[in-house]
Amino acid sequence: MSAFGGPYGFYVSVSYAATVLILGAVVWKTWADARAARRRLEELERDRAAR
Amino acid sequence: MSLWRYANPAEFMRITGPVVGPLWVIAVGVLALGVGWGLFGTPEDYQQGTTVKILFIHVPSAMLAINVYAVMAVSSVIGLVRRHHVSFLVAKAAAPIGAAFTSVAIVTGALWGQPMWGTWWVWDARLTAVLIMFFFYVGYMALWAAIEEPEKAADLSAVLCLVGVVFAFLSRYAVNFWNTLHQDSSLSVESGQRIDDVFRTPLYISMAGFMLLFVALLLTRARTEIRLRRARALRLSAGAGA
Repeated sequence: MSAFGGPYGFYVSVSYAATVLILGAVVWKTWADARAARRRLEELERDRAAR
Repeated sequence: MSLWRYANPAEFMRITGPVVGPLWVIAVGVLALGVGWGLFGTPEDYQQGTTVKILFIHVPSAMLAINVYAVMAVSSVIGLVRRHHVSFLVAKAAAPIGAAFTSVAIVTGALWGQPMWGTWWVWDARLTAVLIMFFFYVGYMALWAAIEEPEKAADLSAVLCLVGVVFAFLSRYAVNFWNTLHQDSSLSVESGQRIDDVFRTPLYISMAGFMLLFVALLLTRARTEIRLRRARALRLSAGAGA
């Protein structure tokens, strides 16, 4: 029987979906913040070098 | 050579730079193997049925919920005692990751508890301690966000983190102190084997995957925090020079 089927399929499916959503959100935010910080710092360092 | 030289932000960035990318790849690979094996390569449990599959995400996330708090506490102590900025920033970087793992542990625990215990939630010692620890994670992040001066925010947040250590400790050991609805640890060094090999091997791999994911997230977030601090310093020096 599939892990997502049977009498407990709902509980298993929602558990995995919630885990993917929560950890996915943390990974996405981590990467987005990292990209933004890297760009911001490069910008500031370019400005400083230009002055 | 002193270990403390790694607490230097420039040194930390130099050492972790080449590690982070490969670490993400390994973490995703190990996580996929462990969880995939647990989900599709293990049989149903004779008592729990397919709900045993929840074990492969609940146990690693619960383990990390507590251990990430321990990482934050140790980093906070080092920060307070040795005044190393990187220690404070590592603790700050760990908090959202720990809060996420705690959320996963609580949600998946409730989804396992309903069919197996007949209830989503009980106010037993372990569950309550984990919930309070989650509030400490949230409070810690809120305190960092609320105080503009980074030095002050670091000190006060570190103190708050240390106050919450008691709940991290209780989250781990409450089942040993009191007779709770939550069963004793699924894996225990002292008490020998409590789980069949058919479940234990993928569970260990899944735990390793979650652990690697935590390290990859932590290093990425700590590097971001160091960049933000450097950006702040540059902004302030540009403002002062104008």
